Amino acid sequence: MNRRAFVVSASLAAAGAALGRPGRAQAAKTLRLFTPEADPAQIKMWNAIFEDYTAKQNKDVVIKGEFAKWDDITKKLAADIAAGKPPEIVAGSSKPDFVALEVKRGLIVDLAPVVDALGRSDFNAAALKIWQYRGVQMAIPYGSQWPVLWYRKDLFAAKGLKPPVTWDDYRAAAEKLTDSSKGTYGAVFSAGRTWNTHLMALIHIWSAGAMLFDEKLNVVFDSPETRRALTYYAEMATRFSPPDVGQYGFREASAAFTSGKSATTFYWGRVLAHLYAQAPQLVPESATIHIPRDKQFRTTLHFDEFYVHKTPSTTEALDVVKFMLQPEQVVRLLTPVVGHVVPTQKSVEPVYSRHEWIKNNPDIVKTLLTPTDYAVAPTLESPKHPFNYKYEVVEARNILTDCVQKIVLGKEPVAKAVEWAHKQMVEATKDIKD
Amino acid sequence: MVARLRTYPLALLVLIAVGFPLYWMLVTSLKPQTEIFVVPPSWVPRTWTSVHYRELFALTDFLQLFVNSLKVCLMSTGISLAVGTLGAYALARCRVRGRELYGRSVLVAYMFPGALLIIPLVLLFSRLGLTDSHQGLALAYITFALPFVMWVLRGFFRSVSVEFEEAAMLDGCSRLGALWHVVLPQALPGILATGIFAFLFAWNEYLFALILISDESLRTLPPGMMRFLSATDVNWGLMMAASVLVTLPMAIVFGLVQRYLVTGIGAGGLKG
Amino acid sequence: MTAALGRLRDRHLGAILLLPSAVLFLGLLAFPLGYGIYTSFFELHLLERTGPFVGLRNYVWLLTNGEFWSALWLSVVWAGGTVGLQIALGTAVALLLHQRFAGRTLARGLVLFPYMMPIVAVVLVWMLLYNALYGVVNYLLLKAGLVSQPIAWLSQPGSALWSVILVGVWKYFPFVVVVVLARLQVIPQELYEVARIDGAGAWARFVEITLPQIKDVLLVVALLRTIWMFNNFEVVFLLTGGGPLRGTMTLPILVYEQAFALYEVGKGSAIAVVMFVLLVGVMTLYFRLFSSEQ
Repeated sequence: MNRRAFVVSASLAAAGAALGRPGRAQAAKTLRLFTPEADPAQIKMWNAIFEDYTAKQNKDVVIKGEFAKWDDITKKLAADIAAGKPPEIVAGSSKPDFVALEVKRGLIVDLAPVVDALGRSDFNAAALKIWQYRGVQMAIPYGSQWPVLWYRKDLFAAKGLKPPVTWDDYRAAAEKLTDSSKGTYGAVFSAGRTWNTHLMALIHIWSAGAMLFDEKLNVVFDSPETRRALTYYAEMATRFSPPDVGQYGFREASAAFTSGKSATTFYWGRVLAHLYAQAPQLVPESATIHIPRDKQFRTTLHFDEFYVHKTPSTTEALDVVKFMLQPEQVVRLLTPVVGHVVPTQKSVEPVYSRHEWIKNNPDIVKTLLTPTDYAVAPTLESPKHPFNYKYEVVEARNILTDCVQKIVLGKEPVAKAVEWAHKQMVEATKDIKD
Repeated sequence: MVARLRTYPLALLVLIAVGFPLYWMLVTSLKPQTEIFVVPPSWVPRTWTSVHYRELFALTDFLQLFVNSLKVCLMSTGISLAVGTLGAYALARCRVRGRELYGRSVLVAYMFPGALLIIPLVLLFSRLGLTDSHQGLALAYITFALPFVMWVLRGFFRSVSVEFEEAAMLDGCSRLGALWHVVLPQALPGILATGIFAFLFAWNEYLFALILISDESLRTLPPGMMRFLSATDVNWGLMMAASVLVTLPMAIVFGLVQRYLVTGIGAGGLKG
Repeated sequence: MTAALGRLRDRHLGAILLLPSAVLFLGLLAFPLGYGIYTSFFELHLLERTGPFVGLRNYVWLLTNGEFWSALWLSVVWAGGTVGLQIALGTAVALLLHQRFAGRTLARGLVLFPYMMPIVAVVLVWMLLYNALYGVVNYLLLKAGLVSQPIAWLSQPGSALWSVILVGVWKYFPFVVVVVLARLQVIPQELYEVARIDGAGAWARFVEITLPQIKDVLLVVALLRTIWMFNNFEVVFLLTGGGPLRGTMTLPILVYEQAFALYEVGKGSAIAVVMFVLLVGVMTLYFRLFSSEQ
């Protein structure tokens, strides 16, 4: 190519690229739906539902999906809010504490009218209550979920083990199932600087009888029960979990089980979808039970929900949410991750439980889909607690996670790490008002 | 120097150390998910599959990311080459006041940390409405592409013999004419090589692309690919397929212009 | 007369040719640099428009903050470790590739690959290789009997920094190879002939002939690579995020954490300014050593 052609084509490339911004269709309004529910199969499903809405409900509205990572949600939302462009709809954030912050700043649309329009009696009242703050229905949950213990029936049977019920059972079983020279492990106690670690540690602290906050919302983290729980947690993480557990979050906790490296893991029902996709031969060998207890069974309760920001497109957004909460759409939302979520609407249950995965795998879905009273939402640590608006900052600053890391990776004495974390929590929450 | 017998095993060792990760990347992208987790690892896939490549395009926005990256990198490289070539020529040939200072500034600018620039750039760009735009990101890339281009090309132009230019000018050519007819043709390999490197740096850039763009439909490849590392699933096959495809353009381009590179950077870029 | 005209036009022409780049330099580099320094004297939240002036408080904060000194130390170890190994490995490989053997061109081309591979691809492949459950590195070490248990390369505080350094060396050493190889190719062969006739062995030939010839180039490369490795954000951040337990938290990652995770823009700017000052120091050293650059 001669020089002239080179220069000309280079300039054209630069100019063309600079000018070639895609134009926006003037007639249609674009709504953004922000969600971390973004397994590839789910992304496909969301896009299909978005297309259906535009085709069948409202040709003038186009919905664009924004798919985020779990550990980035609050950061991205905060950045969007600060830029004055919050996404019109948020789905599946599972963070009532963060949404409460947004309610305080007047950013959220009250969805109580939508609940009434859809039929309040169809919804699980307790689930709705968790998403009420300052008299506002800040979000409508369409599914609830909690983590359980996944275990391999075949590996347990081979060692003559019964599924563990208490911490002692679990410790004994994990020891028999761990053989690091073969690269197989008995447990997965996440210790990465991730949300997963935070939740798993919290479950164990609750199980020992302790809490983060008391009913007056004072920090009560440092207690003998907490120390006991974290000592157990660290032991299980160090002795019977994979060696890189110090980096584990949701992704790795599931992969350790689906890759066959670990005989057990703590996770939600999403593992079923992963097993079907990556290791279908393990589906008949897998089962779930409640996470082993110390004094009491405990697990965390979270939700997939819709909430709506106050924007110029609020009316359109509310219509989209109403559409999404029709049983037909809810089933579509839940189908890529069957078993992961319990529908909050009575009208959805019958269709949902007819799904093949549910019918074929009773051992797996029973624990996942039968509601229990020991699934606890972190913002309401007991029925006597008020909505805990201080919990958000503890989660955001990774205080509990850092505490676990100090013990597991830094080999710090449990008492020292717990004292440090307690001080951090007090410091972080001291100026927060309702 | 003719090789000794020991050269071959050493060369092989080096090639394995350099090439194995590339091989592993390629091979993992062609294995089914179940085989990726297997220990001992299968050095050659027992089952070959293209599912990861298909899923990459069917289930992710890889194509959009690729196009976005291409757009931004072409823009920043194009502008940097155009502006930088002229500036480098001036530095090499014209007796401009402050030439030395300018030359030094180019070098200093080339060594700015990204971490240093990102904060003021994001603050300024958000005020100017340049965030969430490909033009804005291209401008940000010019901060390292332009100094690089000028620094390398200044050396090239110096290495082009002055006599040819002066001969052309004696023949009645203007300075610019000499640049066009005499200097550019000789420096073209160097310009091409420099442009390719500038494109490469922009193609691979992560931090600016992460911070200056938050609209996922405008996202470029590096942060977009890291986003594939979904929080709830480990899909190494998919990740490796994406890695192969993101490396491929540079591999092809490098293969084609490899000859120029060693001479180009060695001679022009780092004289003295 | 013509000559004077030529010179005059020359200076003006030069100014005109330099104008576009000067504008871009001022707008995109000089001004943001100044603005960054300016910001370091304020307490500014990333998502707010303005913040209070606090003078030198951010600098006092970082000088008295253990995290800053720890990050500085880690940056020094990271830069020194990667550059030292890049130079050693790069020179050795350059010497190897300087010899004539079959497939040399192919080898030279292949050696460049890590350098031009996008950093995300490099990071992803190495994460897979380092994986404690099914990674190749652990498998080979276990098979060779060098370890009895798989090692969590990136998630144990002890091994994380060196695992990251290894990746940094792998990715960037080809730059050294290219530069040294180019320099090797202009060393007159006669020097080696004479030395061989004099009975000098391979090592002696390297130390007495090659090394003095490439010394200048090595120094330049060492300085450049030190600056670039010191500034490097992606390799460490994408592999470990600064963890575990802040064990790989280099200065660029600290800046990122302050500004974009904790929203403390003023403090982030202050750290970045300190980084810049350190780099200017290194650059001054470079110019001192090569003031003969014309």
